[in-house]
Order: sequence, then structure tokens, then C-alpha cells
Amino acid sequence: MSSESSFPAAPAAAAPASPTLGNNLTVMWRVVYALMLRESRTRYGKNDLGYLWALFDPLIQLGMFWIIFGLLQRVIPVPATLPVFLVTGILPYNFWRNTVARSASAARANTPLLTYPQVSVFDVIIARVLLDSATLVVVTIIFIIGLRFTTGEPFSHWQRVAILQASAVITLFYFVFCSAIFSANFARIWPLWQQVWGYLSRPMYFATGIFFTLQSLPTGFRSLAQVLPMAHMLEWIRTASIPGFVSTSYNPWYPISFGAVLLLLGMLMDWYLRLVGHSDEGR
Amino acid sequence: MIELINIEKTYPGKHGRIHVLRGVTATFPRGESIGILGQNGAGKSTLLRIICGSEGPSFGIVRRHVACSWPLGFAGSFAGSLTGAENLRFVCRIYGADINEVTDFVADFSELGPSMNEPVKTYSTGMRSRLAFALSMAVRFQVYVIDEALAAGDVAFQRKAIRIFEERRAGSDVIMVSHAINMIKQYCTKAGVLNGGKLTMYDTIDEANENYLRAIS
Repeated sequence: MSSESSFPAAPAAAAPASPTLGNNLTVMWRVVYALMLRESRTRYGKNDLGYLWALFDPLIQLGMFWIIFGLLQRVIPVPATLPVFLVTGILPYNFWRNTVARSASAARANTPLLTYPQVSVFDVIIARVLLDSATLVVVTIIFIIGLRFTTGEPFSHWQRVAILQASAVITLFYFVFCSAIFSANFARIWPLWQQVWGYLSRPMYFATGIFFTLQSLPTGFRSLAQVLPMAHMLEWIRTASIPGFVSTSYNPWYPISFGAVLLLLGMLMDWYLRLVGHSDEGR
Repeated sequence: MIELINIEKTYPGKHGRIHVLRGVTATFPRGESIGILGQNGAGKSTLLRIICGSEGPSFGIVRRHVACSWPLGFAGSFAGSLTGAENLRFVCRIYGADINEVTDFVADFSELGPSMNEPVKTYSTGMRSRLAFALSMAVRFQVYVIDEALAAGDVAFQRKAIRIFEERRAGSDVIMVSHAINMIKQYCTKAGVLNGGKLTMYDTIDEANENYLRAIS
């Protein structure tokens, strides 16, 4: 029959290999890579200027608080210039807040994709966090270079201890991933979560330490702010980045273990939803 | 080979849980094409989605050692803001199929032509289902999964769909669900009946049909 076929042959789908760890990772990477490409095309629709928003949003915040700090003649609690102090707070915090917010809609927005057996909610989240992490790195580099040539901020003002900085950034990516997994699955159980997060993240913007350091707070307020895992993250990042600033008010294990708990809760919720036959459609 | 071991599936309903599948155990070996008969609402589509992996079971184990298609003609996974070609590339990537070969094939078979580079949201229903069917024929699977109908579209396209499917299934198996015996007789070598959340397999299609008719009367 096939010898006189009127149709061209079809390329074979990759047959499922034996479920070893290596093969599973290969399939997973294939899916995550495809999701990243897809997400990068769909996030802002056909509007190619959409990506500029990732740059303008923190830029507007930076400009706003630059002016406010100037008007109030406030002294910042670190031996750095104002833009370095603000950027090291605004960029990581926005990264966390925005990725968690987008993850809350991940399951619903990708319901059709989840019908492909290879694609799970976890793949969708991994793809989003990777894409957002890459965006964060690019935006940070643009800020550092931009400030070098506008206000003359030397490159050396952005790094104190390289190893500490690298570990802080990796932990930030890890913590954002854990938060995103939690957010995505919590939103499947409680659809209102997306809106609640919108309100919750606003006061946290001011409480997390974009405008202060834990080190500079009076003891009472400090222990209050130390409840927030992102406050530890920001303090860690600044300690690693700002020359001359060493804080003893953060505990690196706090965001690490907080993230582990969020990740575990996210996985438990996913397991529970599978057990009760939850459908992500129509919610 | 696809193995189902003690599959249970429940959904939340308005008045408590709906128990759709109550312990389905079955083996679908390579070389056999299997039809599953069942009335509307018997859980056929649910069972099919669990077989091909679109959905997980509540309890039980699914072992899948073959490249299994999604239900043929399933158009629901397309992103409206992406073009037909972009949607196609996504599917190629997750299935590890060659993008160029698949694109050439689909553009030709679906007769979409330049519309391949237009966003899917501008497509008519017919265009969507032509794209979906062409895509499921562009990637070679070891098992093709069919939920009731082979392809949507006009008569000419359906004829073409039936012809290509005849070729594709030469080296592959079929698993299909239906409430009617005709299509199962055409494509399958064995059949089973899904009734009351349980699947019973029979050696011949006629035997399955007799028991199916007895069960629904």
C-alpha cells in the first residue's frame, strides 16, 4: 500500500524511551524549551514592544523613588548611591511579585496544553520562571550599563563578594520557582488567589525592604520584617552587592527553608487535585 | 504495549463525587487494534484520555511503552494568538519530530497555504480542524487514538482523511471508542464494552457487540 502512496511519509514521533532519569530529563527539557518559546511569543501577544515594559516598569519606579528620596532628602542606610540601593531592591522584588502573579493564572491559561501527556503544570511553571529569570538578567545588565553612562555609576559599585552574590541570585531563582509552584497550585484550589495576591503584594512592596535595610531597623520592626522571606533575600543580595555594606540581619536558611515548604505545599496540592479529578477548565 | 492497572476515576459533581471508572484493568498489546463500545456518558472519552495520557487517573497505574497520539483531530490546544505554523512547531518540539518535514506536510495536506502564517484565531472552524487533523497525520505514532469520529470538515476533506488514515495505520495500531459498531468493525481487531465503570474485553468484535446490545437494552 505504501509503495503507491499518494501522501508523503510522516516523520516519526520520538518513541517513549525507558523511563530512566536521563530520558525523563530529556523529554522534560524538550517540553520546557518548547513552552519557553511559546510563552515568549504569547505573553505580549503580537505586540513586540511588550518586552520594553519589562524595562520601563522598574525604570518608572526607580525614577519615582529617586525623586521622592531627593525631595525628602532622606539618607539611605547603605554606603552606596541611591540608584544602586533602589535597583538592588526593586528588580528582585518585582521579579518575585510578577512571576508569582503570572503563575496564579498558569494552569487556567494553559489548560489546552496540559492535555498533551508530556506537559504538566510544573513544566509550565519551570518555563515561565526560566523566561522571567532570563528577562531579569537582561534587564539588570541594561540597568547597570545604562546607569554607567547616564549617572556615571561605576561597574564596581555593583559587586562586593562575587561568590556571595552568585549564591544569593541562585537562591532568588530557587525561591521564586518555589513560590510560583505554590501560587499556581493554590490558584487551582482557590481561584480568588490571583486577586488576593494583587492586594497582598502591595503592602509587602513597602514592608520587604526596598526602601530600608533590615540592619537599619529598630529591633521590634526588624523582627516583624524578618517574617518576610523576601526581606532576607533583598538583604542578602545587598550585602553581596553593595561595597562596604555588611548586614548580619538576614538568615540565608530562612528563604531556603521557606521555599522548600512552599514547594512541598504546591506538590501536595497538585497531588490532591489529581486525586479528586480536578479539571482546570472553566474556572 | 499499554497497560491499565486498576484504574479509578472520580469527578466532583453537584451532589457528591461521580465515579466514572471503577477499576479498569486491561492490556492493549502492539499489533492489536482495539475498539471500546459504550453508551453516551459511560466514561469512554475519559478512559480514552487516560489511555493516551491527556489526563491522569485518580487511582491506578498506566504503563505506556509506545508513542501514542492525542485524540485525532483535537484542535483545542492551539493558541489563538499564534499562527498555525507556530502552533505546529510547538507540537513538533514536544514530540521531538522534525519541524521542516511536518510543516511541509501539514501545509500541503491541510490546504491552508499562506493561512499557515496567520494567527489561528482568524481561522474558521473548518480550517482549525483541518490543521489539527493534518498535524496528527504528520507525526507517525505507534498508536492512534480516536474518539468517535476520524475527522471533521467537508466531504472532500473527510474522504482524503480516511484515505491517509488507511495508510498511516498500516504500521500502527488503533484504539478507538464509539457508541456504534460500524467504525469499530472497520478499524479494529478486538473490542470491549465499557459499562458501569468497568471494561470487559472480548475475543471477537461480534461477541462484544452482542454483550453491548444486551447491556443497553
